[in-house]
Amino acid sequence: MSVAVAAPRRRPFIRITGALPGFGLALGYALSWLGFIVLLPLAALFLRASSAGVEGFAVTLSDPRVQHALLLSFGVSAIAALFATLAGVIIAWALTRYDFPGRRLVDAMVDLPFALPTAVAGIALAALYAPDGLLGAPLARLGWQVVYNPIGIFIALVFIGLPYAVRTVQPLIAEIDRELEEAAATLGAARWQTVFQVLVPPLAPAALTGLALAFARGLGEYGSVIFIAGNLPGVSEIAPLLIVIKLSEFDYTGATVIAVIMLAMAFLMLLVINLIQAWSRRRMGNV
Amino acid sequence: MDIRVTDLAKEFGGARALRGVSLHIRSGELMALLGPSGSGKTTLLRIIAGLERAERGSVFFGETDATRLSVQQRHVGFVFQHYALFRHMTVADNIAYGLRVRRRSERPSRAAISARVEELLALMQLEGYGGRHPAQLSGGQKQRVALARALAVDPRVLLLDEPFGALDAKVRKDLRAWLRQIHAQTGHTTVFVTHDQDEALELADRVAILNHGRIEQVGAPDEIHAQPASAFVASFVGDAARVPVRVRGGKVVFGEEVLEAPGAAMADGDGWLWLRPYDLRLAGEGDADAAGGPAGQLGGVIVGVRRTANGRRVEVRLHGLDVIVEADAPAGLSCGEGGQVTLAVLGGRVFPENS
Repeated sequence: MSVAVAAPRRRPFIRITGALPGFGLALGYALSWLGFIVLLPLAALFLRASSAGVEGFAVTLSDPRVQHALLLSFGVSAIAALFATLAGVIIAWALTRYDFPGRRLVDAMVDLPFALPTAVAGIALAALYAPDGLLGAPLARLGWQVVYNPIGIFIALVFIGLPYAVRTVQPLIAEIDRELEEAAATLGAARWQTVFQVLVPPLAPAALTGLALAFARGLGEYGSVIFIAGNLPGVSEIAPLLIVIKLSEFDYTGATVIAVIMLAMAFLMLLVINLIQAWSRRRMGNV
Repeated sequence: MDIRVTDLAKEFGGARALRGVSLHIRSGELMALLGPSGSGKTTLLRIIAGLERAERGSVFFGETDATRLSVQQRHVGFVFQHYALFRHMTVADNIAYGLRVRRRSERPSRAAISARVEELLALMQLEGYGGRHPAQLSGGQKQRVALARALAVDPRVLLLDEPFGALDAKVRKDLRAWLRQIHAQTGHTTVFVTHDQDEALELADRVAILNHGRIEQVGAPDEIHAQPASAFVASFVGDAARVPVRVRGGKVVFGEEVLEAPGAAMADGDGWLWLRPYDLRLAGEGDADAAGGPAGQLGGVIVGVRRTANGRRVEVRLHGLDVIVEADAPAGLSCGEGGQVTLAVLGGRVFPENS
């Protein structure tokens, strides 16, 4: 799987010029696809939620259990996305800049979280980090329990988000010109100065894309989290789980209200990340 | 500051890039390293900069032995073919970078740095461009920023690797004249690598010709052109045709003709006579000035006439040989293609066959 990182050139809205055919077809297809697959279901969701009215929203939102679940979902997703991005840049760096035995194998393994059923990942992680697990046991002896609490959610979400971070920055790292490092060195820059002032800053827009993807993915993640989180209401219960619980209690309105709130908040955060990204791209002169 | 390299040798995975190169670049000089690709010219420049390490030999800046110094310690200014500007920094930040990375005790004040940046922007005729990003500049402007960045740290020597290689012909020409001017103003000892002989001959005080990891000749452009030290230099620099000859007792023998050609400084045996267009004076058979030149004459038939920017160039196939030489056509040339002509040999250089 590859993720495009190049910013599409901005074109004036609907002006058919140039030699490339198929503009109408492509745009029509894109819009109808977006309409049927994305917008229509979302519209239905909003319609359903709006039946709750302002009062319904207020009631649902004032429930401490809902408040906690939303806070937990957004908070842990954000922290996990940040961590995954940091780790992802380092992993992408190692995979791109250095040649070592088994590099291709490791490179292929990065994509595994994309392919693995997330429930499998959750069960595996839970088994591994449980107090009697391979990694959990030594941690338990230190007095750290990392499953059945928010830390477990964090572990699962980093696992899920990592490939997004790696794959978005990797092509940019591959493009870094060796001459940039040499130029910095001839100007007297030490190795750490070259890395942090010359090589890493141009990766920022791509890293932000990775961050946004990992965050969005983590927010919606359900399968892996429920096996490792413990799902204690008010402690380690995530918003997507709460939606499922509401649905199983036939509280459709409550479920859609939470969903709409999540959707709105996620959209807002992604918009902000996109704006930061556009700004940082412009700062580099890629208008 | 002068640069002295002695007996440099370097291999890349078994391929010998340099095979014992020694060169003295005088203080304040503008020197070109000229050679075909793979001749080792860029490797030599990168070893001087400290970007590569030689397996053997040493590099001196003035009295300082720089062989073991790191790139950072050498204080060289280096300009890359593809500019290597920092895309995420403005032009001003690029130029200031070498000053800002210094340790606090050696770093100029904020005001001093920005004054230096302004001064360099003015020198590069880039006033008002300080706030732009490299992506908003043309190739020629980028290369000027790269040069300003290299000069900002007041380097001991200035090294340029194919500085105009990525630019189009017009910009190249402008920048060439302009680099000459900058060099005159700043007086840095400057070494630049090029594969473009026009660039080397026009710009440099002296030119070092490299081939297969060795220096073939070092000299002023006129010297290189008029007195090539080897067959390679004769063929690589300027237009030249070669004619198979034999050397007997210091005289050059071509077929039945004995030519008193100069530069026959070789033992008796087979060799090549290298002739530049200006070594030959052409006259049609029966033309008034068809007399022999000081070194003898050759006969041939015209196989082509070309218009060049500065006159007409005639291609002549020599009698009895499958060799075509070129000569400038005199104004009153009476015959065209297929016409019989004589070529008075005024000069030329002879080198042994296996050189």
